[in-house]
Amino acid sequence: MYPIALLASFKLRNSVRTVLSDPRKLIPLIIFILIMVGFGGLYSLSASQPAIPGAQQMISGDVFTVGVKIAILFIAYGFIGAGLGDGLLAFGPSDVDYLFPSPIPRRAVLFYRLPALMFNSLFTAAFLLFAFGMISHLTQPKLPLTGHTIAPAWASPVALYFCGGIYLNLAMYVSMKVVDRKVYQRLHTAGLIGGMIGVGGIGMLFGAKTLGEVINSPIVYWTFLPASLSSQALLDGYAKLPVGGSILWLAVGYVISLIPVLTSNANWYEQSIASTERRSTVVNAARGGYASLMATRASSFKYQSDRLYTIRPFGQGAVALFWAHLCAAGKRPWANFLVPVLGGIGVGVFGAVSAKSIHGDDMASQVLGLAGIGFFTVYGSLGFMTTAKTASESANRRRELIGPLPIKGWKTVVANLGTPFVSGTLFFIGVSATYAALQGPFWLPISVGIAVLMPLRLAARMALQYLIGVIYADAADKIQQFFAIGVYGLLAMPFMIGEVIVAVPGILLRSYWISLAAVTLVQFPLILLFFFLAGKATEQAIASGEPVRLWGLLKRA
Amino acid sequence: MLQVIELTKQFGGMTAVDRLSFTVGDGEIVGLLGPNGAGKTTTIRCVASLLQPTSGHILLNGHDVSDDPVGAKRALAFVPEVPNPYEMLTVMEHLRFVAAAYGMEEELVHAEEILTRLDLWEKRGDLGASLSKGMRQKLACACAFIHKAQVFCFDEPLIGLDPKGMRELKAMIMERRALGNSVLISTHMLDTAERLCDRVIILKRGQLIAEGTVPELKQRLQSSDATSLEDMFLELTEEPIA
Repeated sequence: MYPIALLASFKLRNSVRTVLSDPRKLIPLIIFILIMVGFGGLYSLSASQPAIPGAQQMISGDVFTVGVKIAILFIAYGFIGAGLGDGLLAFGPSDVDYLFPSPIPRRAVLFYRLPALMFNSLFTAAFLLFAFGMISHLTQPKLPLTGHTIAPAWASPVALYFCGGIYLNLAMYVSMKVVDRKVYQRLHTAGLIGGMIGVGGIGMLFGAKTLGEVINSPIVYWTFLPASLSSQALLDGYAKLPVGGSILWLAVGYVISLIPVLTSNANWYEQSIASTERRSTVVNAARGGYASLMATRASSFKYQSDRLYTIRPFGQGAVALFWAHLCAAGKRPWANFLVPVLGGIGVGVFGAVSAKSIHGDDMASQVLGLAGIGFFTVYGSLGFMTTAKTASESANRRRELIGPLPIKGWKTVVANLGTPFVSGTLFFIGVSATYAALQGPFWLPISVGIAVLMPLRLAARMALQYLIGVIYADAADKIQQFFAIGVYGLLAMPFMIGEVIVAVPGILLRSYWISLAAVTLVQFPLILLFFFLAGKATEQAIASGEPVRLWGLLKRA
Repeated sequence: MLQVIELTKQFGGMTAVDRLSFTVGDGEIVGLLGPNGAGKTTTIRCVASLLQPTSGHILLNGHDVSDDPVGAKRALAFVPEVPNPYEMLTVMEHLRFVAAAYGMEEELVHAEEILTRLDLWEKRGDLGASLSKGMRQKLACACAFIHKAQVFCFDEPLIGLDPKGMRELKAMIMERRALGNSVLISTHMLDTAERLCDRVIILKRGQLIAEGTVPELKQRLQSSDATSLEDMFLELTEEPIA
């Protein structure tokens, strides 16, 4: 164990030194700590506040109990999935080169891995406790049984930690023993989907009480015993009932679950190397930004086709470039074209059905439906907007290839953004057409607004996002990317305010159509402006090979 | 001594190494040659216990890597094809860790000499993350030489090294031979193999297709025009045109 301890101590010491002496690493750490402190503050604040009025009626003791049990059940099930994937056995490439060939027993190497597993378990426990504490503080549900035993503060975290630890150890054992875990992974995913459908279906059709009966049934209880015991400990702690029994059994289970892992003589290095190589490829790609990550993931897909893939040339200049992007996206038609349409149809169905609730066309249902369709459409729009950043990262990586081509900057930007724009537009058309077909409330103005305004708005925002991507081009620099988000917000904000201002006359005249027309028309100059700037930035970046400065770009423009 | 006996390694339905047998005797340097995908790296990874043989045995100084992996690894020094140093360990800390892992911390007295020969002494305080590709290769070699291994396995050790580094490494390898150690080197550098190795083994599609000293191979291919190891290698591994 001494060499392992030596290795860990060297790594820890040098990591601390590096983080404290490098602002690029120190600042993200400070931000992370501040976020954690913020969460802690929220937690403390929620503990001192009275319950939200009416919350006890909304979340009864039964609903709360069932909710907690289901959440822990699914998280525990997720841990099993983590073990079946690459997560648990993936070491670092350095470990493969220096640790694995050394005469350190495999069991000792596992000890080296345990702190990382414990951290996973602890982090999940902390997250669960935060969520549980916030909800219980703000709603203060009344449980049927209460007592007067105050459990020590460590009881709940320890119970959750043991629960996570048991599942992680079991998953680790499976990973060590089974080389090809694809079948198990598929079964696990099928179980997860089945479980979600089952829980959702029973809850919607029969209510929380029946769902509670299913969750508390002996089959579920004993099959997921560690999860059942830890949720019991959590709920008993809240209800001031004794928790010692549950924690004791969990501790026993945790120790037992360690035995097969630490006594196994399996040569799991081979599985680990495969996992490490896959994980390492993805991590390295992620350092190069989202586009690089997606390209790596895409390369792992096998395109089963008997014919050679060829792109039939079409168009010239930027059109040819756009066509090439379109053909590349066409290799994964499901992800790039069908999912956006299906997503749009789903949002449209949700909005229309919610608004035309089965309880009748009451106001609350209409508000729910309209808010839902608005939220999901804007949320989808934000998602497609981020694809502009991906396109910008890809363009940066291919700069030396595309740079010498005789294509103007703005045309390159249009060609690069064309395909993600098509995907986004398909989503909006899906939402709009479905909502119109189902004739949800105010279907005509809403469908026209989504079909006309949203794609134009998306085009403008994509160009702005692309521009920011060219200016803050180092995807591996987290600080730079953090600033990029802020700068995007700063630039987008005035234009959003402008959109509101031009909508005012329509609002005053109580004409939706005038507001829609005004906000739609204002997108055209924004599109021209952002594409022009993004084009100039692209040209400048190609010509100089230097980072483009926003202020310098604006001055030249 | 390294003995590979009827080694077979399969990945799914693909056989990467097929019933391979060879021996690297004490005080011998053997070159493992073959085109890409011939099974060289797989063989070396099996020797280093990184991969579990599907069948067959590998003995390192008499220790079977499957039955007694720890004992076998004590006798082995392994240099991978593309070494990845620990980003957060300095050069010297790598050596300290490896020496500790082999229970030979007293060998650290040779650290200065080894690092100086490999031009790493000045960089002994640098983190692994800051090393260039060549330096990483040198560091992996330094780690291999720091403990008293009896068997050395190098997977493409010369790639990325500067001429001085290549020369020094070759000298160090030959010193190990003089000390009676067994050395297995996988390489594509045929001229180096010809000059450095006592024997060569040529693999093709996981199978041994030729083995012997360079003169022995020349004799075997007497009828052809092959005069160098490179010519012989190309002739032996040439794929028939369909």
